[in-house]
Amino acid sequence: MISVRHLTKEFKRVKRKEGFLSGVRNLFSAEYTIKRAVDDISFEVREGEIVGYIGPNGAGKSTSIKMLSGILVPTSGHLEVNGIVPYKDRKANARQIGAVFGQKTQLWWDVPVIESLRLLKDIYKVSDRQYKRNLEIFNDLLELDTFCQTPVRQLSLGQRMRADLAAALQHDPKILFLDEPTIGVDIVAKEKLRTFIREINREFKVTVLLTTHDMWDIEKLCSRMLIIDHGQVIYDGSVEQIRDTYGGSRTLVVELEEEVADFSVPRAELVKSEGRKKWFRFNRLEASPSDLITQIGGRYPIVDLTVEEPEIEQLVRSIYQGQGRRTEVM
Amino acid sequence: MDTLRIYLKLIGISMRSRLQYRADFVTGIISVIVLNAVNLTLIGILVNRFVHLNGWGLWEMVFLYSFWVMSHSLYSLLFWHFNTMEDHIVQGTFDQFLLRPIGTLVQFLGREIQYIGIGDVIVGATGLTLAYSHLHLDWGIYEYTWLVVSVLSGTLVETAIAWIISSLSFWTTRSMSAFFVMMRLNALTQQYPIDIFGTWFRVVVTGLIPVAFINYYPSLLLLGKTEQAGSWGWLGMMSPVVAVLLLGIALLVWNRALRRYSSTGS
Repeated sequence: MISVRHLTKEFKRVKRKEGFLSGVRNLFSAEYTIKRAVDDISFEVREGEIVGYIGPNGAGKSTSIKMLSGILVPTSGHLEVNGIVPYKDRKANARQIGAVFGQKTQLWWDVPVIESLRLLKDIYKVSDRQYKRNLEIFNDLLELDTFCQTPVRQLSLGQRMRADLAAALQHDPKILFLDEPTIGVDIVAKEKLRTFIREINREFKVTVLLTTHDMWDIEKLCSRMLIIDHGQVIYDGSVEQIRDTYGGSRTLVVELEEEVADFSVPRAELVKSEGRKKWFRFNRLEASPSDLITQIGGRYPIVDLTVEEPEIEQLVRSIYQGQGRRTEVM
Repeated sequence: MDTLRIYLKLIGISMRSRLQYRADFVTGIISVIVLNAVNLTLIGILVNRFVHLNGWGLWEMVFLYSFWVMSHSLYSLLFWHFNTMEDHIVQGTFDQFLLRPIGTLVQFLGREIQYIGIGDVIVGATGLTLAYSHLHLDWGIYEYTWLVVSVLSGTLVETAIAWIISSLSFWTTRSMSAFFVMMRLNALTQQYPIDIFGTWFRVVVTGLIPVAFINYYPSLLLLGKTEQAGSWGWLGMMSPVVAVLLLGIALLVWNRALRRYSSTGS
């Protein structure tokens, strides 16, 4: 569905001169610095996938999305979206994609949501039947009817995002680009957005590429994630695989009946101790939680216990921080 | 045709957006009328003291001014927001025009409408009518046609200049200072016949930033003053040609600007 090969994007930035008439001198003999925002990226997205595209700020996520949606022309490399090269045929590409940028709305600020939708219907040449059918779906899944008569500027952030999703989907795009669709939205509204994205992916086979800083979006939505940093792909694989590869360790937290001195358990490491609570880290390939519980319980009565999974966010952070040379776990 | 239909729909939604702020709408129109009335009064005072300004009488000056206001009214109604292009570039809202399967220009132009242009239409039409009767003009179909053609040409000249300046902001990011230069030149040519200024100024407003084609040159022709203007007189017929040329240049610059945007995103 999406095919990206050796995609590179460089930006030329004028090096600002200092001192007398610097602005004027800049106009005539500008020196440039070249910044490589996207550096030889390759990946494929298959039809019907939801792929999380993540990385720290400035990693090149938005630049990639802008190239895929036809806003920017790449410096070199090849990209194709459902058989169309976006920068060569911007309008044809625009008809088959939908895009939501969490930071900016695509809707007309001062008029009710429904008017924006009607206008976009004309722009995308959506038929009356298709328009009505989609509106029903949006009313159903996004509760669009509860706020479609309200001007966009009066919507809450969550409502605005739902309105933007409706606007991006009413021409039945095959591919949906979501750039931080849950940014600034409260937990309940986030959950609604996620349910909706999952639903349209399942029901209408819409392929989704989404960037986010919220790892819950990834865990709840994505079958696969691409991590990029400094313009390069540093991880491409499933969410489970990242746990196996980078997060083999679990932590067993036990609360004992009474305070005891620190003790050790074979195949586990005591990492924290706080009164009656002890934290043991173990590798799940070497030890099983039930073994550890039996061993500890044999010595001291246990009041309460939990097994903590490593948070995906932590794993990703450890990948950002250099553990991740280019790893391909396909 | 499709593009025109979309443009009208876009304008429709911009109008409804504007109407959300009714008070702003009314004060905008009133203040434009007041501003123009003050300008005209100042011209009146000036000409009354000197009787003639380089051969231009009071009502000829009123004609010149109203002609400019008339041309400008359409520009300010439909194209005024060219000077907001820089905001779209700085804030990145220009991206959304590229996300939709229609042309970028029509989306940009359909983005806004400036009601204050209506104030200009009222002042321009009133001024021209008054001047017409005081100057005892007696036009036939030819002159009326030429009036319409040259008013529209004037609109297009101003629009093309604004379009070029706003396209330049794709390179410079900020274009407000260039717009100020245009407004200053405009202010001089709208109120005074440029033959009272020196040759260098006439060269600038004729050849470099040709705002003199908005009202001065067509007025020469319509007021029968081409003889008086001497070797500059023939330019009276040229404003449609200048308008088309400028629009051509603007289109070229605009296309280059778009290409630049798609490679830099800023």
